[in-house]
Amino acid sequence: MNKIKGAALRYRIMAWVTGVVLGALTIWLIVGYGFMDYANTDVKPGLYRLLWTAHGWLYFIYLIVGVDLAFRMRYSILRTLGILIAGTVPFMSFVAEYFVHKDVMTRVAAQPVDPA
Amino acid sequence: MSNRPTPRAVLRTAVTPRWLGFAGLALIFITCAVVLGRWQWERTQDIIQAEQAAQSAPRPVEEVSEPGGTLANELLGQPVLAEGNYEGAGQVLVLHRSLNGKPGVWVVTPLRLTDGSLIAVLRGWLPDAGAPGAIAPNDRVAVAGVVQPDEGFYLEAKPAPGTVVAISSVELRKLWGPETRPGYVTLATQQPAFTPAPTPVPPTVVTDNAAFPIQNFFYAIQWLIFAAFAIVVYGRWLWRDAQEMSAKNPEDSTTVTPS
Repeated sequence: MNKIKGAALRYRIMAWVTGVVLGALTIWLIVGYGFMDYANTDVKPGLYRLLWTAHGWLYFIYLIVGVDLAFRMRYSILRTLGILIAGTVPFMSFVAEYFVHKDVMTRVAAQPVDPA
Repeated sequence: MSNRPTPRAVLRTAVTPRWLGFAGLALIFITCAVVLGRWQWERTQDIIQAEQAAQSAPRPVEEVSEPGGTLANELLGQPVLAEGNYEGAGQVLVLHRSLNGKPGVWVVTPLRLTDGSLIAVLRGWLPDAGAPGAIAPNDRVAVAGVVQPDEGFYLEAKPAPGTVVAISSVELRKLWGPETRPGYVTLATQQPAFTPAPTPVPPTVVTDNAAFPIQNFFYAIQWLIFAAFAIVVYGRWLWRDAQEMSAKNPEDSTTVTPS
């Protein structure tokens, strides 16, 4: 159970981190291309590019912790895919995290205390 | 659960319709990921090569832009030389182009090269269509500039004759004939120079001093990592299903720890 709790916490942190970065970038993209002429690459700030690069690697970590938790929770392959893909859709990682967290809490509560 | 499924049990699980479906999905995903990874890798290469081209010595425009072909991505921003005669009758004005905040037009004139083909030359900016320098004499000139890709926007616009809203060699070919070469040259200097003449404009696509395309480079790597992930997830979950199957059929499993 402790292992599941640890995996769930790691997943929770990564779901929030990738979710916040992707959400911020989505809003930034809409504002930048909609109102600030980012199509003209000269005005695109370095931080904006850097964050997209960072998001690529954050999502990679999200995949690792997501697969780890899904395996420990014995989720079906389709449910696992759903959780992993949620990380690429803006604001969906929060939704996925909500349901996964609820599920983990029920599972932990249902289990007797781990003797180990 | 410490039962280790036998290879036979794993294979038997893999050939069930459910797992064949997952294998199909995984293969489709891996193919897509590899194609996307290659695309990002080619983008990385194009950007690096375009920067090298932008810093290289000028080449004759005939070598860079071939009639009927398309402009290679890695040659955008390549300095070129073009020698020939302007054909003022074919000249078009690009509407709504500002220079340093001042509204105006761009002047694009066909240049008839020695081999008979045409290349569009963006001679520069004028405050309006009637400004001095708008008309190009049909003189023999040597133009030095950089090659630029066709502008791919406002393709559906139908402005007045003699004007365009974007420089597209596909559209210009309809006016000038099939010998029109792809892309266009943004004029930097011209020998002999005209006075008055439009003010030369900076190239729209600047590939000189481009930063290393770290985003494309990382995306290329990440797509391959995602493909590897698909294999790991498929294998791990298949293994578990086989394990559960073995648990039901004890002859399919070997027990690792004494139970």
